[in-house]
Parts: sequence; C-alpha cells; structure tokens
Amino acid sequence: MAEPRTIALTVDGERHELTVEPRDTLAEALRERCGALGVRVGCGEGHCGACTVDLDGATARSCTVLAVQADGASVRTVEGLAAPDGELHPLQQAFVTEHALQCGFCTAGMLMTAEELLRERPDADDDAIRAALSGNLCRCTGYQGILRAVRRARDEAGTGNGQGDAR
Amino acid sequence: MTLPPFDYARPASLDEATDLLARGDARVLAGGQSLVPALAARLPGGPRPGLLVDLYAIPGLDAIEPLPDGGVRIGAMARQRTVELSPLIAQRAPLLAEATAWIGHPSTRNRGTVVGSLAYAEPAAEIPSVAVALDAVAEIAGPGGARRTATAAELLGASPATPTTPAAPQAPANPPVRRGTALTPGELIVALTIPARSAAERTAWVEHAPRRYDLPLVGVAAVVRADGTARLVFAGVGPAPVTLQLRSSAPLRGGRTTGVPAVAELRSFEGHMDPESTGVPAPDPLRARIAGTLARRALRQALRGPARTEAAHG
Repeated sequence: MAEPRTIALTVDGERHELTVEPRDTLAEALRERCGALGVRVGCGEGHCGACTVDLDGATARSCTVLAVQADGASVRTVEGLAAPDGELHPLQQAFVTEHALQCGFCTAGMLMTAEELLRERPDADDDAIRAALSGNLCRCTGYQGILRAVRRARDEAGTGNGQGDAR
Repeated sequence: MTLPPFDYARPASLDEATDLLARGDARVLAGGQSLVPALAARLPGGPRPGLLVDLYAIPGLDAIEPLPDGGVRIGAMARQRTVELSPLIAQRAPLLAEATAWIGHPSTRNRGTVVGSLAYAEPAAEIPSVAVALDAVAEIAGPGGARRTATAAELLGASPATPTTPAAPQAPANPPVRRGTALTPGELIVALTIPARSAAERTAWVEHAPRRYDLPLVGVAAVVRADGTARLVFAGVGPAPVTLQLRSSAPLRGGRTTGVPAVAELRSFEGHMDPESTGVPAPDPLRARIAGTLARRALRQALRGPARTEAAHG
C-alpha cells in the first residue's frame, strides 16, 4: 500500500492524471506535477498559509492535504483567479493598487483566503477580515497594505452592485 | 519537510476501517489538520504511522443530526466549519459553536473535524474541554464489529481540580505533554453525542493565545445552571481537561442578565475563586494566573449572555 497510486484531479479547469506516493502532499503534486507553480510552500506544516488553494469549493492548506486525498477533486489555485483573457481578479487589482505585496511569497495564499472571505461575507468588516487573514503570515509588508487591498476589493464590489445608475 | 513514508488506505466501511486500524502502527486520517503537520514537522517522539486509514469514503460519517431527546449527534467526518455554522448546533449546543470558531483558521476548519480534534487530544485545544463541559459521549467502533460508548471525560482522562495554595515561584514550564485518549488499537470514534441541555443553561468559551487565533495557552469553558451551580473546564493546564465545580450562594435571577453582572454575583461563587489562585493546578504561575482571569471572564460572559434557547446563530 505504500506503492504509488494514480489519481486524477482538475486544476484550474485542466484535468491531470498523475502517479503519487501516499506521502506526497497536494502542494507538491500541484507544483511539481501539475505545473501550478503559483502554489507556494512556505513552512510546509500548515502554519503560514502560503500554500492555500481552493479544494472542492473551500480553502485548504495544500501542504496539509495528501495528494491521494484529492483524487477526483477540483482545485483552484491563484493561477485560476484572473480571467482567461488575463484581466486581473478585482482582489489582484486591489493588491496592486494598495501595494499589498513585496516579495510576493505570501500573496497567493492571501488572495485565495481573501477570495473565500469576500465570497462568503461580501460585507465583512475589518475584524472579520483580520480574523480570516490571521492564518496567512507575511514577513515583508506589515499587513496594512493587504488589509487595505481586501477592504478596497470589498468596497468596490459593493459599489459595483446596483449603484451604477444612481451616480 | 517531506512527510515520512507510510501506507494509505481508504476503506468503504467502518468494519473495513477497524480491521485496518487493528494493525498496530495504523492511525486514522480524518481532516488531517493536526496529524499531517505533525508528520511534516518530524518532531522526535511525534507520530510515525505505518498506515493512514482515511475515513473519507465511509458513507454517512459527516452527518450532524438532531436526536429525539433534544441532543445532537456529530459524525466523525463533520468538518469544524460545518459545526461552527450549523443552526442545529447553535440551537442545541451553542458552546460548541462558539468554541469551534476559535479553532485555527477558516482553511483549517474547512478540513479539520470536531471528532478528530477530540481524538487528537491536544492539551490546549478547544474541543476536548468543551466536550467534557457538555457531557459529550463518544460512539466507538472496534475490530470485529465491536461497538461501545465512553464519555469524553473518560476518554480524555479529565480530572477535577484540587485545591492548591498559591503557586510557588518557579521558572515558566513547558506546555503539558499530549498523551492521547483511552482508545485501544483498532478503535475509532464514529460520532460524538451531546445530550440535551437545559433551556436555562448559559455558556461561554474564552481563551488566551499569545498570538490571537493561534493555539491557546489556556482556555476555559463555563456552563452556568439555573440552580446556581457552574462547571468550568480548563484547557492547557494539564495533559487533559481539568474541571472545577462552583456553587453560587443564591440561585440566578430568572431571565436575561443585562449589563455586567454585579461583582457580588461573581464573588458569590464559592470554592476556588481566591484572587491569588484559582485552585486549578497549572504547570506554572503564568498559566495559573491566566486560568483565574479567564475563569472570571467566562463566568461573566456566560451570565451576561442569553439562555440557550435564546441564543442566535450566526
């Protein structure tokens, strides 16, 4: 049973079939076998959040998930956030506008976490944003730009819904 | 770092799972949010399973269901996030919903399970102490179709606090060592049942973590009953939850307590509420002090909050 087994999963809309050992993590499989280099491995132990992806509709720290557990699953990574024509996701644009990254290593995880937050709670207040992002560690920015970016994306999404004609 | 090698199995039934677990070096894989990081860290003395038994494919294990007596049954694969947001849990066991919201981060709660947190028995974790506070009972499956139940308190080895004198000065101690549960090889927890709670009961969970939202240093569950008794269960002051029974000098006023309860009401809880010591044995004076502060805070929050039947879900 320690022998490699074949799994199939969809990554950012593309189907992949690969052979993995039980101990291979989803993070490793995504990066090394599916070409999703946007998935970052920081601590490799589930603390830093850099490896956060969307797994079957909910965020997961891909370094804490075995690849074999993702057999048959649908995974979205940061590389699937932008539109097919390259137009940035509003969160990505907000991160640019608010200078919410320096080295960029935590950014993929931050974006995936923020995307889930705003999807579940479009009206998330500052406390909710801080709480949701508290598991994503950043060594560079001091977090303020990241918080501003998430607030901006939240506010711009709100403004965009149903108020355009009133202006 | 790279995980150590192990076998992996994904059984389709409980009996298949327990047969696999009877292999001495096998461990259950549920959410994996405690186990996989522990494997990655490769700490000395940490887990080195030869086989991981993944419960994912066993049907029905993720159910959260109401019981006819007013209790609630939480399956082994029910995710912490689902429990946190469940209207049924908010209504029948609000203390569990409140405490679960403090576990880890949204992405870990999406994967981690409530039952798994109990079985892992991390000394400072929320679920083990809340399970003891709510008189939870575990349904256990064993090899050959064996089935039994055990209270969370029995499984964890929860113990009552004994009166102590104020802690003598000593160097800060290492955290309590995790010692696991009383499950025997081949056994796994199938579900956790929380019996019906009194409608007049008031509860609260408070914890202190040096880094907010991280694993707590000390946590306290408070359950206050209408007859003026209260139970406190402490996480992080020993390998297993530590319980403290308190008695008020008078029954609580009926109805909702508005504002901060009178100091006299807190002081009316006799027992180990001496300002210098909670009477809760702790590895060091810091944890003892924090435990005392959190105990008062938990009681105040429970008294201030709505009775269980009024608790809103969010």
